Amino acid sequence: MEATGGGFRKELVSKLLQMHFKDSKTKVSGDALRLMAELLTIFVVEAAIRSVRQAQAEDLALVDVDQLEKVLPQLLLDF
Amino acid sequence: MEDDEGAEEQERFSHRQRLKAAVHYTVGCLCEDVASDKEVQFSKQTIAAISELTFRQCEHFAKDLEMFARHAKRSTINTEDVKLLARRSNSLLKYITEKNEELTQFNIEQRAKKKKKLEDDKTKSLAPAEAAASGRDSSAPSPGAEAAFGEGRQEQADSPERRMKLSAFILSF
Repeated sequence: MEATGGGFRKELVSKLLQMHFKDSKTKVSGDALRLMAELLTIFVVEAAIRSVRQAQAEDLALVDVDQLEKVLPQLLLDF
Repeated sequence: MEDDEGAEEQERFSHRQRLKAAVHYTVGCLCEDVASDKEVQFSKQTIAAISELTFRQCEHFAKDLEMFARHAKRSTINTEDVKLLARRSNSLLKYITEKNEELTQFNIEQRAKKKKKLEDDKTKSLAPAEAAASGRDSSAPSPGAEAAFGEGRQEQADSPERRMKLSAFILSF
């Protein structure tokens, strides 16, 4: 059920979310967990691809933090 | 007392570090895929920055999801909450909704497969159960076995269609 080769594993996503719940009774359903893993994968891939596009626009072969910084505001607004 | 608190703090810190490392590994894999696809290279700092970013974003996601579920008077987060989380960008929302539909379809297919497998297994298990049950009628079977065979016998008695299935199965050999 994973679109890309890599991707977030369900156990990892579960632990990441559980860490920040205020109420210990809060749980995540299996389907929601899979969707969250997908969402996080998209988040990472979007960040990566937008940085690459920025680097290509600046005619660079190495994607550095500067390019990431430039795409960060729009990325965070979209998520 | 203070030592215990210190130890607990240490434990929480190292747990956090382990999770961060796991995220970093996954982010690294994903970035590598993108890099080889687009034929560029990511600097190590960029990958570290993206993984730190993802880790922090999880906190926002988690808090929002918990609030959504509580607003709906639930204690379990479900797919509707996740869809609400993805509302900011139209294309993102569309993608997540499509994934959700794929998932539900997948679940339905899985359930249908399981049901079919269960029926196939029952048909197979009835054949040896019948033979063993006739052999053990004289001796006293153990309670567990009796329960299983009893169930088998009852199922046989209940549905004539099962008997037909059974005979068809035996004939196929």
